[in-house]
Amino acid sequence: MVKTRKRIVKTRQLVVYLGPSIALALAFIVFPLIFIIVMSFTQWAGLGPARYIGIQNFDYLFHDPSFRAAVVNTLLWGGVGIFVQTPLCLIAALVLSRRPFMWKFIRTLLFVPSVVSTTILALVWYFMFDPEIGLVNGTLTAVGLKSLAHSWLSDPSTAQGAIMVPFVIYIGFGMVLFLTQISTVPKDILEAAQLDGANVWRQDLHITIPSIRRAIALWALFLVGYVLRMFEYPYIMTDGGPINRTMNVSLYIYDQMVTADQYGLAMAAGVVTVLLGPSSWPASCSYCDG
Amino acid sequence: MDRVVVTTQVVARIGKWLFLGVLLVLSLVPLLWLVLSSFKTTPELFRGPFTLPRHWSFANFTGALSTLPLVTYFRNSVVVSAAGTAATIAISTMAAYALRHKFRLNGLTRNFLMAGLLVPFTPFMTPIFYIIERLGLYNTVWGLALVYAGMMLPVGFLIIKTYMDTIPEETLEAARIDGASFHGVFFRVIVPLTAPGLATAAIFLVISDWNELLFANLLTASPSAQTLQVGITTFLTGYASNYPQAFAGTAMAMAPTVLAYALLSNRVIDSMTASALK
Amino acid sequence: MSREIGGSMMPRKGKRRLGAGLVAAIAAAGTLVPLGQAAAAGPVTINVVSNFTSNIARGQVLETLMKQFNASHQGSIKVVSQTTSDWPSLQAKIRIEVGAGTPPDVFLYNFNPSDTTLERYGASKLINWTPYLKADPSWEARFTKQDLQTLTTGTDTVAVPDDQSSTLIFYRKDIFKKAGIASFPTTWAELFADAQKLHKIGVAAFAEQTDDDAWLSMNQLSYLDISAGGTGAYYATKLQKAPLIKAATELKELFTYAPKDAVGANYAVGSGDFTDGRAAMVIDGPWSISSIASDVPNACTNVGVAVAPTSGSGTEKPGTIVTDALTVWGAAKSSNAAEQKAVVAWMKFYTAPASAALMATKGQFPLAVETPTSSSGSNCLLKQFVNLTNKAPAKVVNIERYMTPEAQAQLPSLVEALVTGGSSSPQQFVSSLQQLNSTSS
Repeated sequence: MVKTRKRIVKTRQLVVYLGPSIALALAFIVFPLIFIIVMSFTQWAGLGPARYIGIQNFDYLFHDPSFRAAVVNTLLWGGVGIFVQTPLCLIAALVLSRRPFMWKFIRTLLFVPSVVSTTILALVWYFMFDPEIGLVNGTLTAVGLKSLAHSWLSDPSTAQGAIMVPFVIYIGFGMVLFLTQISTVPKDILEAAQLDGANVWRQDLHITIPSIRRAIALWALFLVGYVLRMFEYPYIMTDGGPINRTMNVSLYIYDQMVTADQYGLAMAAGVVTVLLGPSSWPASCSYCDG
Repeated sequence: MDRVVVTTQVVARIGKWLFLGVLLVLSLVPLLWLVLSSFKTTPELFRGPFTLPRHWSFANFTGALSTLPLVTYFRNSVVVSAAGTAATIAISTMAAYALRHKFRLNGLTRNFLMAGLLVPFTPFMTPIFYIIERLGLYNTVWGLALVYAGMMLPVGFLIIKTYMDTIPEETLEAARIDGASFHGVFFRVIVPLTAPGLATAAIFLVISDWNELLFANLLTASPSAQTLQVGITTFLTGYASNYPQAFAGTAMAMAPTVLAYALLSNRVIDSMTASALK
Repeated sequence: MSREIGGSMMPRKGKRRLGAGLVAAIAAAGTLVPLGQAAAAGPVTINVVSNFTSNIARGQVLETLMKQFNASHQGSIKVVSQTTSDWPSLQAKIRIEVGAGTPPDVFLYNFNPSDTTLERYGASKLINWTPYLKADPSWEARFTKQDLQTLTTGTDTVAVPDDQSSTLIFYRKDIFKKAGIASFPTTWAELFADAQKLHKIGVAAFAEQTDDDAWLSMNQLSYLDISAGGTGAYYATKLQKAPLIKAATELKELFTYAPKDAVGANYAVGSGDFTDGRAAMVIDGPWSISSIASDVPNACTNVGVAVAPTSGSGTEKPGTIVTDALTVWGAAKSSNAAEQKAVVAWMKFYTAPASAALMATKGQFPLAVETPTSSSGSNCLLKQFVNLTNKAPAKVVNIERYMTPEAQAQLPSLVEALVTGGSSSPQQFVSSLQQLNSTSS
């Protein structure tokens, strides 16, 4: 990071340039945060009076096996995002950055799923994994591996893995980000390294990747934020099941708010989620220093 | 020695194409299935989801278009995504510029603006609804765009600030010496040099806004404001799921967005590489 | 090695313009509908909030009715439909709006005796229908006394009934014949014997659903429960233990005869199992008739509608029907007298005989009002359905609909625990359920 010598600025200019962002942040992030922190100590049905109950909600969360599973699963999603999805995006970007045959076409093809909403992707994969009519079992049977055919989404041992498949596979978004970053790496440095005898992978490892490490860290961080908010995959593919095994915190909050009318509890779970976020910062920042 | 090198190269090439091939198949087969299914009738879909349709009928496409105003939904999505993204980018860029100067609460402000990066939005449904309702923006595209602008502010700000920080202070100093005012430095130096960051942020934001469903459902109630995602999921829920129609709607929505991306993506890359070549 | 990045500018620019132009053209085409809600200057605008989206039958009928109403009230009242297809989202929105003090003009929700927070805390902001009902006895008489009583606390009637849809068993006559089943079973013992016959030809007994609200499977549990304990076996937060344990045991057994994708199935997959012949029976409401009629070949001959079996020992009268929740319309109280009158006028029109007849036949959605029976436009299955509904000696609401929201949220996972090999016994199922279902607000 380039050192910036800061210059004095007039208050009036500050207000104009910082004002809008502070206002937006206050309205849509700070105020709601305060709201949920306050409400997390109450029992509230979404309307009517909120009854103060101290830390009872947090106590409930601590003892609820479903919430514990949700927290573990959410951390798992974050880990998979940082250590599986991000490297996949990176490798795909590195491969395509060398401009192989039809690379632009391939890049567009891989990007297409990004403009399809998570809901639709989850639904498509819900069908793919259906034990009766799904393509996964269908393909396994067709190639003679019928013994491997499984009830992927209703078997507790495979359900969590199954619902992570679409998350891991759709690398288009991150790949495009890395591709655009890679194209800013000055070609002459790479050419110089090549002349020095470094093969493609050496070049990538020692030059390309470190040059875009900021983007990699950004993407990993973005994914962490994403898994904290995303609930479509467990909601549509397994409804949090079987028996709440594939729950994640976002779905837990959604269920408590929208179905169980337990707004106070949902807010408490929200507070816990906020605390979860920064705890995964170190992991995503493992990319920061290459 | 030569043979080893050649073999490694061959292995690397095979590995590369295998990798791309597997990714392509896994990514696209489900979507191809989606497009294929949109030509089927519902019973056909459940009877044999992965067979070719008996009759390739466009009934689902015409049905989807006639029962729901999909074109309006598409327009709303475009407006919401564009407006939300433009607002976030403009506001973030200004904030990042302001933070390059020395003032007492600089660090605090920076952390304040980035704090919202890892917060969950589901429990925010209630307070954000109250705000939008009080502002009179319920069931309007502008209300939704405003919420997106606010929700995505930390992301946009982080990306843009990261890029802006690579501009050396000397460049700004030079402009100031040339007589540029506070605003002048912003418009004539900062913005052009941060262009790659703005483009990167734009990609993130437009796609995030485009795919968002929870608040789109919450803050809109009629076709004048509902987005494409809301429209498509209309086919999917409750006791009247019509998956082939939903898929037809999705397929139709995919086409222009992908086309737009394919044609505009070169520009994005150009803007990124342009600055690098400076 | 590295390709030139600049390339040829002209074709690329042209492509760019084309891409932008394409998006703009589509966007412009949609601008025929003005952005945002235009504020109505003249007539009073009433927003009717429901899940009757325009792609389903009752949504189309609603739009037709609104057109008729608006035409006859040209210039003075305009009703507009605002739909959200996802029921939970719709309810969350309504709840938040009522909580914010600005309920929608007219809105649809499930009456739940275990959760009267909406009625209680929204009371000051919601219309009390009593004076309007009393002022028009002919209108009041169109609803059943029992329904109005349910919706009245003290002197205030908080909502107007919309529907309380029955659920009946749709079964495949052709598959039954193939399995060697002569007639539809009248007792559960017979049904289990028939399930074995179906199993022999590789067909599941009932279509099941454990996703979302487990609707299809909850209907079975309800019928099993009233067969074990009579119509009083359950109501809202009161669940009799012994009959429910028996019902849960039988549900678990039914799942051994279920399709392979039963656990984790959502409504579409479950109904698809029936229409596709993987399951021979399904317990569902009248809205499923249109897809059954169109998706099952020769539906009129191959599909029959039947009442649920009984225990055979007289615990309940044969023909007793389990229904969906009593779904009702609430409305915002307005200080504007014209608005208030408009809401009442719309509700009267919506529940008028002609409207109800249209909703029942074209909308395949009988309302909870006195409906003139007409055979024009009714299909074979709907006729049987309405017939059996009218003959029912007793009606009980589905066990899940009137539970506390906490119980409703956990019920699907409790069912999954019950039916997946041994992870939860019927006793555990019932005691967990009773615990969640114990507090009423």
